[in-house]
Amino acid sequence: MSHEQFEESVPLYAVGALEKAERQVLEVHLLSGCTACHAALKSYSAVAGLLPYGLPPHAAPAELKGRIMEALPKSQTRTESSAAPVKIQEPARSWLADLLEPGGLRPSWGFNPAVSLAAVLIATGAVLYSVYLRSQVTIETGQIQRVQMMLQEENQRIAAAQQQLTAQHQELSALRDQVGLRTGEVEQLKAELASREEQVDQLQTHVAQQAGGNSDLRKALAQRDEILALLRSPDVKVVSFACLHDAKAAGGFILFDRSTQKALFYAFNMPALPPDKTYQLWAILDKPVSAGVFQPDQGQKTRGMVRGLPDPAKITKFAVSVEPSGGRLQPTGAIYLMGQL
Amino acid sequence: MAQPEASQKSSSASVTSSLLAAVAKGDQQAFAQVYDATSSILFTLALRMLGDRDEAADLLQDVYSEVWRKGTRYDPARGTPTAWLVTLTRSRGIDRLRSRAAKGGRASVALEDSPAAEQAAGDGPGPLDMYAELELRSAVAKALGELPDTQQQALELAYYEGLSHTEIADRLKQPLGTIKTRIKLGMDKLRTTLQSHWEPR
Ligand SMILES: [Zn+2]
Repeated sequence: MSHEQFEESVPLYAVGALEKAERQVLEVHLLSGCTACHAALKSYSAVAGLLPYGLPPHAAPAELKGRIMEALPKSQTRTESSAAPVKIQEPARSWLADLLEPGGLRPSWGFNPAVSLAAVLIATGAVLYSVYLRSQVTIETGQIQRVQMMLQEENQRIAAAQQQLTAQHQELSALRDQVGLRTGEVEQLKAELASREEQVDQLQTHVAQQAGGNSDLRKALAQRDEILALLRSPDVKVVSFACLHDAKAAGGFILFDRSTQKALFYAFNMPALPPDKTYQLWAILDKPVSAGVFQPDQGQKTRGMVRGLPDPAKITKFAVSVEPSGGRLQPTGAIYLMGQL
Repeated sequence: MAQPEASQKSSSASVTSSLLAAVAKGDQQAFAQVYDATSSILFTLALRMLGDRDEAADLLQDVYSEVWRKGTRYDPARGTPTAWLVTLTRSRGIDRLRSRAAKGGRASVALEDSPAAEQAAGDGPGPLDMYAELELRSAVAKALGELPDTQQQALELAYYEGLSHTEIADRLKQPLGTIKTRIKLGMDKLRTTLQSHWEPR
């Protein structure tokens, strides 16, 4: 999706006419720091805020003022809320919090070449089930190796992590400036930034406390950097998912970066599945290629970073299907979400 | 009630940031001033969205109590205090419409246009603010009146009834592209005609 397309959607955003997924995609674009769209949003939101002045005026009922003044919470609650302006507690977590929260990426994420190799083996007539098992084992072995490498490199990386924290502080203040330009409905993003800032602070404390480093911290930093880098990439493409099951409000999007072959996947309102089923994400080229299996969290949301997408230039669609637990090499179950490029 | 601070401003900025900052610090008198200056436009908006005076009053109560508790959330960089209150009222109003729809109630009640006969004397905003608001009202009404009816209708369905473009297209049995274009053209035109009223000064 190009900047022009985003800018076209800004007036619709300002009057609240975008669909949820479109809104989220635009917010991602705004967060990536497009100043033209920020400026457009600011003016259109201001115009939208004038609309009620075009209505025939009605004074509020005379007794309402007294009723409201009387019902104002007294000082204890006040002090509490104004004393801690930074610790904003939102009742519901937003999609952005889900994306930026460190940790939580499922180990089953990640395109693995072993899966496509296995696909070729099927074509030569190998027994599906054994190949499937083998591919799973390969994936796990690969993961263990990766984790071991990470542990070895950790001590060297802790210094780098500290540098990243400094860089993240700079990013945060840049993001804060951008967000400061925004109006109206995107208020929540600001709260997200505040909580991210808190996360960075926490991480910093960790770094200070644990000079030897720890792999969770390192992973969390790397994940968040990866997400931020993707959000900022000029090559990023956005695909919105539509739900193919009618009357369902499920949706999502995938942001993928052709240059790094990485993608960020996010889906919401995904119903929980029985234990023997799983969702599986597919990149569809001339044939579907698995990009990972996932289960939604308790909020019916899921997110994940997909690495090593096959030839991104050839991808025409993304899809999510319901598959037997562990996933399949080709889609066998119902397609639940579909996103066209 | 004397409102020296508010009366220096023109147009929609009848509530100043410093007044809102005082509210955030727990100043009841400042809160009363904010109420006086904004309750009329917010009630107008609430009534248009909900179509029911009692429910509109409840919505205002929610909004003002949120302002009282979370006045610190207001950020001057994002627009005038009044614009913030309008946005807050609209989004809480949409919440109410959605929960009403979820309970199976019908979504919207279109109100008859009625003159401003209900303008109560006494507690209303001071004369200068009133004049500025009248000026703004007439500018917005004129600008809206210059839009084709179809554009006005699409904007109203989105803004007051919380419908997405797809829902508007369904409701009006028009292609999606047509609806998007109407909204976009309408907003573009308003942005131009009302420039002197929304541009930060
Ligand atoms: Zn843009």
